[in-house]
This record gives sequence, C-alpha cells and structure tokens, in this order.
Amino acid sequence: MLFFIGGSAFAQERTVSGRVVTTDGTPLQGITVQVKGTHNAVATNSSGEFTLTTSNGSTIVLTGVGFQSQEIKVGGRSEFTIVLQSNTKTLEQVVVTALGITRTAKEIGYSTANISPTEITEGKSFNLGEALTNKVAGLTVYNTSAGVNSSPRIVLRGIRSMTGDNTALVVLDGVPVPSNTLTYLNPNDVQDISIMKGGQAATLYGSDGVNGAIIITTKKGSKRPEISFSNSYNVEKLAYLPKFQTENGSGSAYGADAQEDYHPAENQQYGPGFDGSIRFPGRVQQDGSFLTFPFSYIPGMHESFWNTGHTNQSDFSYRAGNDKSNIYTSFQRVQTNGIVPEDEYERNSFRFNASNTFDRLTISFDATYTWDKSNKTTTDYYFYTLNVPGWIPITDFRDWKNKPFGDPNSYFNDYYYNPFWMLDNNRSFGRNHYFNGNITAKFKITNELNITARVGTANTEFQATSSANPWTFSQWASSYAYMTGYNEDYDYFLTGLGYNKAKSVIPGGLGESYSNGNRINSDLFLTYNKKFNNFSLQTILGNNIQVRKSKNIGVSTGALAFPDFFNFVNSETGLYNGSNSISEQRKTGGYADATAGYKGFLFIHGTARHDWTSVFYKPGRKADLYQYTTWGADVSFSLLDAFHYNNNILNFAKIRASFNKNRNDNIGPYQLDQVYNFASGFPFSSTGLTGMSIGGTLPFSTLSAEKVTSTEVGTELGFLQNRVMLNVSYYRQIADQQILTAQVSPTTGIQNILTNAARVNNHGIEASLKTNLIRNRDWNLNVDFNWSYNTNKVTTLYVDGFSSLLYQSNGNLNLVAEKDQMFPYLKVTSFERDSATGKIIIDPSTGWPVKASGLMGVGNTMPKTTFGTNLNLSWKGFTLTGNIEYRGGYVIYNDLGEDMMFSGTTAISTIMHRQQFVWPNSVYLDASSNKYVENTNFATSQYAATYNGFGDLSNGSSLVNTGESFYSSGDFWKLRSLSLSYNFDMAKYGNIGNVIKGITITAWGRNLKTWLPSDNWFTDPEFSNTNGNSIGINTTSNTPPTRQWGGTLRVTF
Amino acid sequence: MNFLNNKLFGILTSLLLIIFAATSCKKFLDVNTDPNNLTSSKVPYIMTGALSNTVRIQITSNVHVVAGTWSGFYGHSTSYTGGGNEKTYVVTNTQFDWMTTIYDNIYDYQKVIERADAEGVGFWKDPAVIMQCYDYARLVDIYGDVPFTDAVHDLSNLTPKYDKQEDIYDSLIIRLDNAMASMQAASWPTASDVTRQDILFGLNKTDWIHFANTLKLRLLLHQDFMGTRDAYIVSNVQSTANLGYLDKNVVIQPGYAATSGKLNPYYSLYGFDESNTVTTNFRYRKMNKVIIDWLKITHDDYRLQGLAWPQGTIVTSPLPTWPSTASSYTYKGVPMGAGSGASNSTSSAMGPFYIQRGVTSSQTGPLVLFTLAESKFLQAEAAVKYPALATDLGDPATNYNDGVHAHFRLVGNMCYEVGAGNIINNAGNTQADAAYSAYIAQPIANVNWAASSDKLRAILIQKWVSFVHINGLEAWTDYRKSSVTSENGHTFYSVPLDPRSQVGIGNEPVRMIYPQIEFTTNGNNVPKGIDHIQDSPIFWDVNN
Repeated sequence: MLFFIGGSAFAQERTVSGRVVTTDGTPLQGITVQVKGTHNAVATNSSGEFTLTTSNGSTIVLTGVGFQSQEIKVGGRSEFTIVLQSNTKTLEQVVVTALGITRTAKEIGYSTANISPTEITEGKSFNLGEALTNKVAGLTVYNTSAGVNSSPRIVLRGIRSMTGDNTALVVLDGVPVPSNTLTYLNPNDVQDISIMKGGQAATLYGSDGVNGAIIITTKKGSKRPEISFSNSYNVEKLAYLPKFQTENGSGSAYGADAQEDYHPAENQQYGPGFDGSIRFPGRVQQDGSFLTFPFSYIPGMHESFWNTGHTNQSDFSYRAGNDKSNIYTSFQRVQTNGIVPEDEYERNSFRFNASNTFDRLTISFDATYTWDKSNKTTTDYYFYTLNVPGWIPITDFRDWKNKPFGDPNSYFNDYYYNPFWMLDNNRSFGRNHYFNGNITAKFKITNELNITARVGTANTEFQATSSANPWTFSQWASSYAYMTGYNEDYDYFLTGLGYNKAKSVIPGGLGESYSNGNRINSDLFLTYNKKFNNFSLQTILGNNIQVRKSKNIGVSTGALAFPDFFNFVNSETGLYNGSNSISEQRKTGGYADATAGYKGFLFIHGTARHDWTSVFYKPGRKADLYQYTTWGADVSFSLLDAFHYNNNILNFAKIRASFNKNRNDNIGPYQLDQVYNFASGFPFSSTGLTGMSIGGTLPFSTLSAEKVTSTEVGTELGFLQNRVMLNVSYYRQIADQQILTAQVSPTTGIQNILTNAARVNNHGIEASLKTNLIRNRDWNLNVDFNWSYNTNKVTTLYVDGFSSLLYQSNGNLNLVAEKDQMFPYLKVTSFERDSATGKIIIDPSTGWPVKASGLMGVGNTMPKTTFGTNLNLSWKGFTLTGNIEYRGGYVIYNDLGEDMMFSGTTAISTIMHRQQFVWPNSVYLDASSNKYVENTNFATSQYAATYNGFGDLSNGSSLVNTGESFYSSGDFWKLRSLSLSYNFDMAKYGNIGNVIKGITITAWGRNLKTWLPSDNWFTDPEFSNTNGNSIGINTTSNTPPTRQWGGTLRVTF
Repeated sequence: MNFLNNKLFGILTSLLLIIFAATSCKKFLDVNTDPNNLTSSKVPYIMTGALSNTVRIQITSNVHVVAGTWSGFYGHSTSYTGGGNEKTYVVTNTQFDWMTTIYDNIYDYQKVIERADAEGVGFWKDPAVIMQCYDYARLVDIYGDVPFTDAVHDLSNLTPKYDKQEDIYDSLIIRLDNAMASMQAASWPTASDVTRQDILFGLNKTDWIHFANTLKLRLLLHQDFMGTRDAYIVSNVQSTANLGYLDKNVVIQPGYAATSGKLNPYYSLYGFDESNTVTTNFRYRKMNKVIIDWLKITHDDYRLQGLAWPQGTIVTSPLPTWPSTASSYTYKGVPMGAGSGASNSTSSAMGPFYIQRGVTSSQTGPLVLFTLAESKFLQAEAAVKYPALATDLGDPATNYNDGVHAHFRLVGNMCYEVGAGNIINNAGNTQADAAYSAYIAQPIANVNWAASSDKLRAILIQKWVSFVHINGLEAWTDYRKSSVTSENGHTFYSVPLDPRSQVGIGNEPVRMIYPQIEFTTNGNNVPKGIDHIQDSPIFWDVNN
C-alpha cells in the first residue's frame, strides 16, 4: 500500500497519458502500463488510452499478451503515442468475454470470434442483426422477411431445444438484454462484437448463455475529440417475382370448355386463352359506364404493384475525454419506405456513454434511447395482387378515391377487393420506445483485487393501432349492377343483379394495444488476478439478480359507424373486446470462475454457477426442481510456446478443448398449473351463470430445466506471421430432458402435456480461414472464408407411439420434430407412387394422379451447410468489400405457390397449356394383370386439365391440394453486399485537413444477386412466416425479395 | 497479497454469500402464481360449462354439417371453394378430427364424477355419467371402436387402448340403468342457487331420468336392423319403460345475448355476428336438394319456410308468415356433390329456425339438444319394430302423430310464434297446430299414417325431418343403420347425386376415419387399415 501514500510525497509527481496502437493504428485495449519498479499500473481502455500518475525520471513498461513489451522513459513528456509490435508467436486478439472481462485469445479454451466495427458497417444495414450475416462461421442470421422493420433471428451452432428459445443471448456492455435489442441498436455505436459460440463460452451466464452469446461493446469517448457526421441514402427495388403465366385470363369452372369458363368478375385465371379481343370486366355502373380492356396479358403487370423503396440514414457522433473521464454520444435517424406502397418506418436512436474515475473508483454510465414508428398495411397485399388477372392494367385502379372502378362499389372482382383499396383502408400504426442502460461502479481494492457492481435495465413500450375502414355499398352495387358483353348462357351461377360482395357492408374495425416490458439485471462480482513466478491466476466470484416484468392491454371493436374516424366512440355496436395480461419472473444466482495459467502457454479455466429460478418455483415444490448448478471447464495449450519451436511458416498453434454441463430453463412463467377457462360464452350477465372448462394442457409435477451437455475441441493456427489464420472447431451438444408441450392422444381427456422428455443430439464442425494475401504500402487484400456444417437428430421423443411434435400445419403439410430426423422436418401430402419404380400412379378413369394417404417426409428446413466469403481489397484510399454466402442442405415450403395455383397465376399452371395431357412418367394399375404399367394413353380429362386438376380447392387430388407441388430446395448463393469506398487523405489538404479530419464516400449494394436451384421458382428461401423454431414456410405475408443500392458520405472533425 | 487484502477479500466474500442467502429465499421466487388464468374451479361450474359444451358440440361444423351433408340436409354453394371433402367423399385423416372436442367434454364430466363427493355435491355424479354416455355414444356412431375403459385418465394413461364398439354400447346401457336407479334413490337439493347450474333440467330428477331412459332407447334402437339383438333390445326397453320418456324439448339457454361471443352459437356460427355481419358459413353452407325437395313434394310449406330461406344471396327477411306467402319465393337446394351449378344466389340458406338476421329472439334463443319429437318417434319405432313393446310404449300411430305434431310446434315456436318458455314445454301454437292438421291429413305415404304402407319408413322419414338443424349426426346414424340395403327394404330416403357431381354413386361414407393425431400420439393402439370413410361400417350398420 506504499504507493498510495507515497504518491503525494514526490514533488515532481505528474500525470502522463497516451494512446497505444498496433502498427496499423488500431487502438489496443487491455495493455498494462506500469511504472517500472512500482505497483503503479493501469490498463488501456477500448480506445487504447491510458492515464497514469508518475514522476519525470521514471520509466513506464507496456506489456500485453501477444505484443512485445516496451519500455519508455517518461522524461518531460506528458503525452505519448506508443506503437506496440506484435509478438508474432501469439495471436494479437483481445477478446471481451462474459461480464465484459477481457482475455487474450491464447487463454481461451473455447471458440470465439470477433467482428470489428468496419465489418459491421460495411453493408450499411441499419439493423445490427442483419449486419452480422455471414460474418462468423457457426453464426447464422435468419432474415425472415424483406419488410420495412424485420426482426432477424440469430442462431449459433444450430438449434437444440425443440420448443424453447434457441437464439443467442445478447449482452450489451456487460448486461444481458432482450434479443430485440439488435433490431434497434445503432450499428455505428458498436466498438466490438465478440461471439461466444456456445457451450462453455457463456457458462458464466448460466442458463441464459446456453445458446451462446453475442457480446457487444459500445464505443467510448476518446482523448482526441472527434465529431462525425454521415449520411446514407439508398433505393430498394423488387429483385424478382415468381414466374407468372401469360396465357390465360379470368375464369373458373363454369362451362364445358375454356370459352365457357370465362367470367368477367372472376378472381381466378382459369379462363380462356388470351386472344386480344375486347372484353368487359366487371359490371355496368349506375351512370352506364363500364370497363373495356383487350383480353391479352400486360407485360410487367405483376411488377407494377411494387414501389421503389427509399431509405435515408443520418448519423452524428461525438466523442471526447480527458485523463479522468470520457464521453461518447450519438444520434441516428433512419427513415424508410418499403416496396409495399404506403409502408413507412422511422427510427431515432440516441446513445450516451460516459465514465469518470475518482481515484480508485471508476463509474461509468451507458444508455440507449430509441423510438420508432411504423405505418404498415395489415392486409395480405401480396395475396390480393395474385388475384388480379393478367389482362387488367391494375395501376389504373390505384387512385380509387378519384377515379372510377377502384372502390368496392365498382371494382370488377366478385371475390377480392382492389388491392390498393385494401392497402389504404387497412392500416397498422406502431410506436415503440426502447430504453436500456447500465451503471457500473468498479473499485480497485488492490492492484489484484477489484470489485464491480453493475445494474442494468432494458425497457420497452409498444403501442399499436390497427384500423380497418368500414364501407357501405350503394344500392346500385348491391341490387342493380349488371354485366354486359358477356354471354349470359355461360353464367350458370351469377345470375341476378348486383355484386355478391355488396350484399352486406364491410364493417371495419379498430384495435388498440399497449404493452410494456421491463428487465432489471444486477451483477456484483470480485475479480482477483495474481501472478506467481510461472503461474497466473484470474478469478471471478459474483452474484446475479434478474427480474423481468411485462404487461399487455388490448381493446378492439368490430364495426365502425363512419369511415375515416378511428375512435371507440365510433363503434357501431358500442361493444368492445378487451384483454390484458401480466407476467413476472425472477432469477438469482452465484458464480465462480477461475483461469490458471502456466508460463503463458497452458491455461485451465473452470466456471460454476448456481441459480434459483421462479419459473419452476411453486410453494411446496422440491428445491432441486427450481435450482440447479451449471459448470464447465476448458483448457488451452499453445504448442509453439510450450516447445519453444520456431519456424517461418507456422508461427502460432493452439489446441483447445472444453466440456460444459448447462441447464436450459426456457419456459415462461405460470406454466406449472393446469388452467381453467371460461366455457365458451360464459359468464352470461343476464343469468349470472358461470361455466368453466378444464384446460387442455397438463404439466408434469416434476417439470424442471432442460439439460444441455456440450463438448468441443478445436485448434487455431497462424501461418506466415499470421497472414493466414485457420480456426477449426468440432462440437457436440446433447440437449436432454427437453421441455415439450407435447400433443397427447385426445382420448386421455387432455390435448397436451408439459414434460421433460425429448433428447436432441446437435453437432457440427466449423472452420474459418482468414488470409491477408497482399500487404504493402499501397495494397492490402484480405480474403476470409467461413464454413460450417451443422446437423441435429431427435433421438428420443416422448413415448412409444408418439412419433412427432407438430409445429405448424395446413392441409398440405406438417412441419414437425420427428424421431430420428433433423428438426424442423417437413412432411407434405403427395401423389401415390409405385414403390417399384417411384413413378406416379394415375387413375385411368380420370388420367389424374391418385392422392397418397398420409404424408411424405421431404427433409429438414434449416440449412446444414453454410459457407461465406468476405473480401476486402484496398489500394491507397480505395476499399472494395464483398460478401458472398451459400446455404444448403435443406428444403422449404412455398405456401405462396398454393395461392398462385389457386388463382391460376403461376406459370406451372399453363405448363400443359391448359390442354389434355398424359401425365408424364406415370403408371396405372392394369386391371387384368394387377400390375403397374407405363401410362402412355390415359390423358387427363379436359376439365381436370384446365381447372379441376390444378386450382380446384374442392378436388382432394388437385395440385393445389397436394403439398409436393410446393416444396423446394432451400439452397442459395447470395451476393450479400458489395461496397466501394474512398477515404480522402486529409493531410494533403493543408488547413482544411486540420479541421476536417476525414472524409469517406462509399457506394454500396445489398442482396444484389441470388442464385437459386431450378425447383425453386417461388421466392427467397430465407423467408419464413415465423422467426421462431418452426421456420421453413413462406407465405404471401412475406413480400417479394428486394435489392438495395446506396451511397454514404462520412465526415469527421 | 498482504494481511489487509486477505481480510478485505474475506469480508467481501462473506458479503456476497449473505446477498445470495437473502435473495435466493423462497419469498424472492414466489411470483409464479398465474395472474392471467384461474388454476382451480368447483364442480358445479365445471358441470355447467360441460353441459353447454355438449350441446355446442352437437352443432359444430364437423359433427353437424358434415354428417348433415351426408344425410341430405346441407350442401355447399358452388360460388365458393371449400367443403370438397364432404362433397367428393374423399377424406384423409388430416382433414377432420371429430374426436378431440368430444373427449375434452367427457374429461370435464370425469372430473365432476371424481371430485363431486369430496366437494359435498355427490348428486352431480349421475347427470355427469348420463352426459358421458351421450358423448361416448356419439364417438361410437362416428368411429366404432374407441378408447373407453382407459380413456380420460390424463397423465395416468397417456396411450389408452381401444375397446370394442359393441362392448362400449352394452356398457353404456348398464351405466344408464345404474344412473337411473341411483337417481331414483337420491334426494337432490332444490335451492335455486344450486339448481340453476343445471342448465338442462334445473336439477329436476324426473327430467334427468326421462332423458337417460330416452337416450337408452335411442341407443338400443340404433341396433334394431341388426336382427341379432332383438331379444336384448326388447328386454332392455321393458326393464325401464315404466320410468317414462322425455315429455319436453331439451334445450339450453344459459343467457345468450346479442354481444360478441355470447350469441346463440348456431346463430353466430352459421348466421351472423353481433354486428349483423354475415358469416362465410351462411354464404356457402346451403340447404340440400334432398330435404328441400322432400318438404316441397309433401306440401310441407310450414316447415319448409321455417327450416330454409328462399334462394338468394342473403335473404333474411321478411320472416315467414302463416298461412304461407311462399309462392313469392323460391326454395332451392344444392344437389349432392354438386361441383357447379348451385350459386350463392340460386340456393337456399339455413332457415329462420335458428337464423333471423338481427332478430333478438334468434340471436338469444335457446339451443336444442334433444327434441320431444324424437322421443315420440323412438317410442313409435320401437313399437312398430317390436309389437310386444306397444303395451309399454303405447300405440305407435299416436306416437307417430304426436312426434310430427311436436316438431311442427317446435318449428312454430322457434320462428313463427316465438317464446322461449314455450319451446321447452312445446306449448300450443295455433298456426302450428293448424298447419300440422292440414299436413298430416294428406293421403301421402310417409306423411299420413294410414297412407303409409311401410310404417317404419314413415317414422324414420319424419324423424329425419325433425333432425334438421338439430342433430346432423343422429340423422346420419339413422340413415346408415337403415338405408342402402334392399334386403331390409328400408331405403327410407336416398341421397341422389347431381349429374355434375364429382363422386361416383355407391361411394357413400359409412364412418369417419381416425384423426391423424391418434396415429402420431397413440399409434400402437389406434386400429389400422381403416383408411377411407367407406371402410369398416359401425357395428349396427348391417347394410354394407
């Protein structure tokens, strides 16, 4: 403790400060700066800066793992910029691990990866989740839609839990936060992202870390004040649509032949072939007017539904600091219009970080406040567009307010309204507020012993209004409108006057919802680091408390009296539906962590944590059901250091292994009881009668957290002075005693049980190769490759006879977790096949295939293989980056195809030109021989070929009712991003260069090109109707894929 | 590390341990009581909910409309796609599940039976047993073999074995007998706050006994075409005939109101919502040509106007009046299996019996479980088939006429001269009585008793008419047990197919196939090899 008193005894005592960087100027964090011969030492911050009190005659020593140590005489200088040479025998990287504690790469016995700020912002995505796409082997980002504010899902090393959360834990400045934080955090605020790939990496977080963690460190202030402005603008355009048929127009199964199938008010496109004749869609209006269009396909018609989107993104940031304190603040505003007309999104993010050091105490404060608003349609716009026949020039109907034939009174279609009318009259307005922040106090008790207290909070508030305009039809529309120029003889059905749809009003409606969520996370931990001769010891001991609460309120009414007035007083019935719910869960735990090192080449690390969790707690439950211990150990061994082996090719070699037993407590609160619901309709106020019904889900009394065991081995190799670095891992995870809401036989009286049952083996291999192929004064070329293979297998499902767990189904498919298969697993309805030849069996009486009973398994819906490559080429001030990704080894289901087959828009529906045909490659059962013989002569009946066999929902064996028509390979190659930027060398510009420190201009594009296999004629295989576990089905709720181009200007002062 | 540091470390460590101890206590964790749902309830409330659900199940689109389609009640407007499976008789096991809701209902009754004594309300057990019998009979009539002895034991038997359908039927008769005997000996509470929870009979013991006995008669008569069960049927009818049969309509009206979720379930499911907005069901579920034509050719305008709306897209007014003004309307049913030709505007919708748009008595009227007409027809059927039973059950001609009359009054009270109280007791109704008298006097076979050479056929046909909008499944059961075969001579009506139909004649369904869920969750027990609805008829169906 001498220095503590001694400091003030020296008259020449003064403060020195400096910045430590690598040879290429990157700030170095965690470098120890020590006054030689004393205990007086500090570590550099994330900007590489340090401040130290010493005297003129002293010498400071800089040491850091991976760098050659350096000594500098202080002399009279007070400011230093120190370049540390890397010690090429080790990896240079400093990794931020759990709790924000830094370690060097060679200490770590599990797989991690780092993403730098430039990698995050190179694609200029304003969504941080999206920006992680294809950056790290083993990290997969599922971009489930192209909407204006989508929420990508981030998964590390595949999925383990069938029904629980599989997404990575997000840790922001040391505090676990909800995963939606990635959707609103400003990517420009990020200093560093460490990916803890799973298993052992996040054991310190206990159950929360079971899926791995994404550890985000935000930018902090710097001693050199910096102001930066940047602005990006981009356009977004439809990339491609499914293939549409261009041969046939409006009609359905009305008559005996295609001509008779014509109908002027039909949504389906199973009518006669286009012939260019003038036809009259829809009905005659009150003023005697009616529509006339040539009966021929309008090229580009289906593209004309989609707008060009725009995004404008403005950023401002300021950072500054001095010896004791620093601040960072930023503001970002993003405004975007999507390709769906009228859809808008706007986001504003404000961030403020500050820290101050008072003697031994450092207090820091981080906060993000984001507010956004969206205005989107609630109608299934894409579906409506599919129900507009190809000969209707739909843009004529866009301005339905001012032009005739667009509103429901006069629109030609008897089944679906004008898509633009639907779009304008069915809206959802959302306003969300997000606040998260933390306060950290770190007290240095001695040089070895520190105590840190950190309290963090994450709050969300969501408000949404959904409105549907009512419409009252005119008397003419409901009773007198009639068709003209149409042979009434064909009209077996729609005789009579007026529109079918106009017989009742469109009631409209209004819904308001409000929800808020609040999380508090508190950590208190001690760290103790010590070196004894050849040994080093780093320990952590801590406590964690978490509280999560949420509340939801919703009110809605089903019918409105007047249009364009969205208030509950406008409710026609005066009746409202209301709902509310609250939720609370708590967890507390204690943890201990120790790393022991020997001579800097062998490190053994162990972690243990014990948690108590409320979601498994109920008075009277046994203690071991709601508390559990997780633990893990890993070892890292640097071979070259150990054996003092030097050569010119291999300069670094580490092998590592880890083992970890974790628990997964991923159920929500209140799931331990069977619930009692009001029986349908009850209670009734006039009688005061109450009737109850017993809920269908019964939890087992022994329910407890899932068990996850992970093992991992890997190696990291550096070649040619680390110009080539290879990182390979193999991992295996067994998730046992999984909590399933498993369907049981309804004959038990219940429909579901909640139990610990299934077991999944998840394993994979991942490799990354980073190369620095060219490095000289003007040129630099980095090419990185990431490859991973992951698969899982459901080895146990509940009991015998219980063979599959259903995620999603429609009449044509079941998406399930099935025993002995990788999950999620897709099964579809199919045509019957001859087992000997695999050929489709037809019914000779109709010429059409016979539908098979049961479902046919076709494959897993998550990719097994991902491959990505990143290129970064710079020449003087120019930098070119590119990012290409492949995913493969899976199938998807395109529900979109069903809609297109139903409406008759898909190109497949005219593959036989709507003529009779002999089903290719088919067989039939020959009655005399009772054998399957090649079918060469039984053609489909005309009726079947035109409508019944393709789009007829009421024909059980039509294509639209057969799922095998709509699944496809999910494989793709994508050019994710390409950018070219130029960085002005401001030193050349004299005085201007003293004011303006940097100017960078960038031109860039995202999702520029996608290559798909030929059986995917539908849409982007990444799209999915959910971002939960059951991905793999896209619908018309996923608007078509887009590509974006833009430019960015960034100026720093 | 010097002494001071050691000490500090020790202090801090113990501080942390104290924090653990304080925060890990149970009080901190005790926040897991569900604030959003009830986690317990009492027997009377479960009973009330279960009774309501039993009646609701009877009119669900599966049990009622699909079965009703196959017995000539309903069809689909060809302006709308859908309904293809019942229309074309092509059903796979992923499409229908008629099982889950029924077992869910049986389970609620099971909990009543298990808990009633402990809660001091043991009198609820016999009604619960009777209602379980009602549900199990439906299951057998739909599926044949189903889980019975192992069923509804939730966690203690997750894969119930299937029992033989004949055995289940026999057990149900015994259970009904036991329940009737037990009720006779019991004394039941009369306080209105207790009896009101019984929304069927207000804990009127006599009514419950009548109901059980009539249900027993229904189940016995399901077997009357088998030929091998005659002695069994006769002795079992005789054993309890003295207890009497239903003398009223069995309905529930727990307090339906013209607000969302509280409407009469038939009205809201097949008619309109609380804002008078039409449902898709009303637009496309139409009346079948078979029933419409039957009512037309027998000049049964009174019931035709009550059971169907004139053709048209949404014709819901004016309400029918009597004497008939029907000449200004046309009634048209959808031919069986029609793939085209029956548009929304050229077919009749479900009628004012349950569906009168925006009319309070229709929005809030009672829902019928079992009719007095059926009780009378069952007694007539038994006495015609087994003349020995006439001494117990009375003259079949009288029962037949009373049955038809009762149904006229029900139709009258539901849609001409409305009054909920009148519906239960089948109160006199001048128009209905006059219409009935005129109708029954017509010398038409299967209308007038004397003019009917085949009395059984007359009874079955009139019973069939009385099931319209009430019980599609029971109509289908009667049809299956008695139709098709020429040997027994009781093709009491036929379900002719439309020339443009998408199915071949002779493919008529005889059962429902087990739902997919049973194959995935109880695969070792569910009977295999029954892949089509034309396979493996129910045991009482001897015609296939």
